[in-house]
Parts: sequence; C-alpha cells; structure tokens
Amino acid sequence: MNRHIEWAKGFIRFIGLIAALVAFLLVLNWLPGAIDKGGMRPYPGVDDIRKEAAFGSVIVPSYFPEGIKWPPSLVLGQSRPFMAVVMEFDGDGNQRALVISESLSADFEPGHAARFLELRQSVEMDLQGRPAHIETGLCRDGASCSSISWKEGDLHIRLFMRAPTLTLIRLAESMLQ
Amino acid sequence: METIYYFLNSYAGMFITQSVLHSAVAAVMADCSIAAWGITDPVRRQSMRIGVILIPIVAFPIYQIINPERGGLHFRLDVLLDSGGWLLMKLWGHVPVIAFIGLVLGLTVILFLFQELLPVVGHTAGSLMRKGGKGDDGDDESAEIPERYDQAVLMALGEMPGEKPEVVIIDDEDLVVFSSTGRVPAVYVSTGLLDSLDREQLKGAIAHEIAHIRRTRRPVLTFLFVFRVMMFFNPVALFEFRRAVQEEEEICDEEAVRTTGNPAALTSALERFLEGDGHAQTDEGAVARIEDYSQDMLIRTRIKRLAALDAGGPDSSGRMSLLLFVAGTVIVNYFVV
Repeated sequence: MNRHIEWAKGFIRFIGLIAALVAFLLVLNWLPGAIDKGGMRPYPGVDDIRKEAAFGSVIVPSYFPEGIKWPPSLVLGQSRPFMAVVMEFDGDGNQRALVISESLSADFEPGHAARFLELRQSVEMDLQGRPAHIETGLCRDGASCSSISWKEGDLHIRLFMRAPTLTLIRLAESMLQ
Repeated sequence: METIYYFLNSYAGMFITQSVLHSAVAAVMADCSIAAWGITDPVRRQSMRIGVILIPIVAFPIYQIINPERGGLHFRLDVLLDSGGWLLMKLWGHVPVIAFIGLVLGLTVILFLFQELLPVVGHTAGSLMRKGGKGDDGDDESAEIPERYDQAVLMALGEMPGEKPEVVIIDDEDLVVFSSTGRVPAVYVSTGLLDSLDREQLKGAIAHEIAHIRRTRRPVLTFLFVFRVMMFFNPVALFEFRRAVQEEEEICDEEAVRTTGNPAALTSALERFLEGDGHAQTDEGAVARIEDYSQDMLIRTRIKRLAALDAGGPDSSGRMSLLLFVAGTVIVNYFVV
C-alpha cells in the first residue's frame, strides 16, 4: 500500500514537471514573435496586414464569385526571410473555398489547404499579357479544384479554388494591375 | 536565408532540427521522471537515456506518416514550439540565430569524430594488429612480470563464479584496470593496481570488468552506439550517450557486488583510484585536468551509489515510470516542430 502511495506521489510530481515543461515551451515559442515580428503569424484582417510596410504591395481581388465569404477566415504574413502572405476564404459550407498566396519567392508553399490530392491537368496560358500556369485536379475531400499562378511585378501570386477554371481566371483578372 | 528557409522545411531539414529539439525535450522528461519517482536503479535510468537518443530517430518518421502536414504552415500555428521562429530570427537585425546553431552542431560533429568515432576505430584496428602479432608481444610482456602478480590475480579469480576471461598484467605503476571486448575478451590490470589493492578489493575491480565483458555481449549496447552514430550531429545525444555510459559503470558495479557479495571492497577499491590520481596531474593540460575532474566525479557518484546499495537503497519506481516517460515524450514532441 505504502509503495502505491509513493508511486502516486511520484506520478503527481511527474505531471507537475511536465506542465512546467509545456509552459516553458510555450514561452519559448512566444519569444521570437515578441522580439522580431518578421516571422509567419496570423493577422486579424487584410487591412491590418496592409498597414505594415512589408505588406504594402498585397493585392486583393476586386471580384469575388458567389459563395465566397468576405472577410478571409485566415490571414497569415511573414516579412522574413522573404515576404509572403496567405489569405484563406471560406465557402458556403464553412470549407476553405479559396486560398490566395502572394510571395516574393517562387517556391513558397501556402500549406495543405492549397494542395491537390490528385493533379489531372496542367496548362500554360496568357493572362492579359502575363504568362500564367493553370492546374486542375481533385482537392483533399475529392471535390474538383483548380489553381492559377502568375507573376505580378515581383510578386508570385497563386490562387487555389474549389471552382471551375473560368471562375478562377475571372478572379485572377480582377487582381491584375 | 531563403535557401535556409526551404532547407528547414524539407524532410532532411525538419529531421535534423526536430531530432535535436526532441532529444532535448526527452532529456528533460527523463530527468523529470528520475526526479519525480526518485529512480536510483541504473538499469532503468540507462533505459531512459537510451530513449532520449532513440525516440527522436524513430518518432519523427512515424509522426510524418501519421500526419504528413505536421511540418506545414497551419500545423505550426498551433504547436507548443515552432523552431522556425528562432532559427530564422536575426539578432540585432544582422546576426542569424541559425549561425550559432550551426556552430554548435559543427562542434558536436568534431567532438563525435575525435572523441568517439576515431578512438573506436583506433581501438578496433589496434585489437586486430595485436591479434596478428599476439605470440611475440604476449610472451615478452609476461616474461618480465614477477610471479607474485600472477598469484594475486589467480587467487582473486579463483573465488569467482562463472566463465572467466583472460587477465593480462601490464607492467605499469599507475592504477590501471580495463577490459577489452570482442571475440577474445580480456581484463587488463597494472602491477601498480595489484600492489595497491588487497585480494577482496581486486576481486571487486576484476568482477566489475567481467561485468562489462558480459554486458557487451548484449545487443542493446551495440544498438546504443549505432543510434549514437546516427545522431552524430546532435549535441543532446552526445551528452546523453555519455550519461548512459556512466550508468553502465554503475550497472557493472551492481553486477560486481552480486558476484562478490562485498560492496565495501569495491568501494574501497574505487577510493584507491581517487587517492592514486593526484600524482599524475602536475604536467597535464587543462583538457586533461577537466577529464580527470569528471572522472573523479564519476567515481564519487559510484561510491555514493554503492553506499546506497549497502544500505539497501530505496527505489520506488516501476516499469510504469519508464512507460510514462516514453508516452509523455512522444506526445509532447509531436507538438514540437
């Protein structure tokens, strides 16, 4: 009996020490953001991110197809090691329906919400004088998705959407400057 | 910095970063377990040290199979610790933190090469060469050793149960005792040691070395070294490997006491080593002095542990504590990227 009590006391001490370790890790995670605000972090909205000098050139579409909810449900931005912004918009079923990523790096990966489960077609096209790349395929839940990417000045822009390609092109055209 | 960003987000980059962080978390968890349950059993403590080296190697690929998006942008928003925040940060706007981390990893690789890998390679090559010219060297050495030393060794060995390895006497006035493993294992004792220790103390010292030889036949220690080699860049693994080796000394002490039934004799033999160290320190460099100091610390810890053994030292831990350490480490590390 005494041995069990000793073990239980040890268990409580162990849980307490793990809680302290978790708290320490959380502080360690918060610290770089407090020291240097250049890392990837969420912003309350598009206007908030545009206020910062690094993100002054962020482009927002002037046309939104029906079923896309405004404002974006998630806005992420980083200014180092290169500028990158991700805006995610929900659709009618509160699913991610549109993901816009804008970055100064061509290889920037905006995350799983903008990834094909299966790529079916990949074509080059002209987007009002700019070379653009269109891909179509299946999203992670099996729905039809398409993406378009092109370069606007120094910015590499990519749109990923649960919608037919024509709607996506119209949305992309509303972002041209 | 852009190249570094993409490397850190690649599979190899994530493995290197996360294995170091996961080892650090596991090391803290191991110490938490040891402190929480007051674990004194060196076998259990060594199991935890092995876990600190092994868990990061095994867990990362499993995490990535379970959740391929684990290193992605969205996952990193809700973790306990995202290393990217630190690694891509520049101190005072100019000095990248990753440069310091790279320096530490580089020094770890150098230490691994010169203090762990090359001595093992040298030892193996030396053993092979000795095997090649065994007849000549062995005959010359034994011819110079007075017979009383052989008698002392035979008397100590005679009272010990089980299989006994060859005992080689080295003509050296310092206190030296060590064992070599491999196909033909042997215990090496110096004439200085044979002059200093009485029969019971010598029995304890030889029994300790025999315990080393017996334990190296177990695959767990070979695996431990293989895991260590796989983590050659990991400073935490370097530290924990040494702690696991220190636990090995205590495990062998316990085995020696089980063989001889006399912890006091082994304790007094160890005390002789502490007394005998002083004369060699005058012409040594700083590094050698630090090594001597850490060696002394280790001997003192072993003496303390033997005293606890003598008094039937308490150990309320069970296998459950090891299981909880592994489970806690695996869960916490899942959220450290």
